[in-house]
Amino acid sequence: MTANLLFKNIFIFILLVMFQVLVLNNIQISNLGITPYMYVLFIVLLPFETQSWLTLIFAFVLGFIIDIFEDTPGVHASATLVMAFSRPLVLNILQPRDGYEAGTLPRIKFMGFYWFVKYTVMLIFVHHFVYSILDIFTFRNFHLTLLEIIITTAFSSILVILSQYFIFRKN
Amino acid sequence: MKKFINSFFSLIYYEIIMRNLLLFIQKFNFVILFIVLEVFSLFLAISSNVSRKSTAFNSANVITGFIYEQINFYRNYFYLRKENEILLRDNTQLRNEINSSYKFDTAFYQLLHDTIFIQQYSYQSARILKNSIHKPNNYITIDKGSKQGVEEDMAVINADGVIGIVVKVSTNFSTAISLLNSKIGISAKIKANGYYGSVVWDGQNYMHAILKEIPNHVELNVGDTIVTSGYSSIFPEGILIGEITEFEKNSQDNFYTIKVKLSVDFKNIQNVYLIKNLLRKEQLQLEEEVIQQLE
Repeated sequence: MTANLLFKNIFIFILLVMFQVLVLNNIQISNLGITPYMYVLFIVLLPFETQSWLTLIFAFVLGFIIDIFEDTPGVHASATLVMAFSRPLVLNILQPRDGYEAGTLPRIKFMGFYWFVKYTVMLIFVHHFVYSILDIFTFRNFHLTLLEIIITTAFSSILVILSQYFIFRKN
Repeated sequence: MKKFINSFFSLIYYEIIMRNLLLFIQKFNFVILFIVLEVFSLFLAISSNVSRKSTAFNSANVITGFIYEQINFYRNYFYLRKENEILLRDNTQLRNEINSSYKFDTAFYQLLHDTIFIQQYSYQSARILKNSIHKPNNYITIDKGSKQGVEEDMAVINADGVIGIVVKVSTNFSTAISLLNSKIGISAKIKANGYYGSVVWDGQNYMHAILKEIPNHVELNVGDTIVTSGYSSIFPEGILIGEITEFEKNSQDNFYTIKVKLSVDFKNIQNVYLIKNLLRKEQLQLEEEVIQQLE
């Protein structure tokens, strides 16, 4: 990553953490207790060429900061790490026939709407799955937990996809 | 000569092992880094789940506490009207209880300087900085800490009833475990007949909790009041918890499962009272001594 890109990413990082902590954590959809976690957008938007170890470090720091604000030591960090770990795998599965072109980014503009939706939903599902299991810490009522995971994934994905049209339009 | 050759070979051997190890790390650095970080995070997550007191990175933390305090400073303006109403109601209730609202009915009386009563509970007001209701285990951050005399195991209530128990204290902030948390049970009794059990939260809804351990033969009515029993040495007796909305008999274990509507609206709490039991140490010490002596 060049210095400029790193600087821009750190800015997005701070913005996303603030938005998550100050706004989204106060939202609750239905009595099931569903909070959309949009901060994972940071990992989703990292360029294709980002070194994988750097992705892991970013994921850990990001998850850890959210954990400090949410009083859930290690839970968000674990979930975000698993997500960052599975990102190369997901990218591999969704790879176009002739690979990723140099200079493209994982955005709707470059990769198309359906590709972006598939990519986002897969990553966010992994994150929410690990998060919910660790947070609830039991396999009792697993069908309820699974339902919660699916609904939360839907909400977070919608937020992430909408953000592509309203906030991150320029890049 | 032989010795020299031996050491030479062992040096080469060592070199090969080291090189292979470095190659291994180079090839799998991604996986190794992942495992190291993940194990660390999982360790934190699981240890905090097992024991509620070991949350080292909680929001009683200086930085997050400061940030939440700033946010709350502005947010409180939106609730001023409601808070005033609650305070007004509280004040009216207290005014009704003080001596000046009573008239002595007897012809003569003597003023007693009381040596019979000693103070057991001391109250202190505080403000809530952070609160959640929709997680499986909810915690509350309070704006008073050890500097202001807050200690662990103080009770947290407001004008409506029981809210939680202080579990961790830093210099200027403290964290309380909310009633909406699967890790606490609060000793409670039915006000009408005095049978006691414990109130726990089932994680479903922030307006309801479950009262357990009331035996099957007790007669119950919907609308019965549930208050604290005072057995736990944390809460004084008779603080409101809620009222019964539903109950059913369990055929297996001869106890009721009672659904209680909580009197506190956890979605809207701003100001609270912290209660310190001044005689708690003495009580616990006595109880412990008895157990030690008899076992």
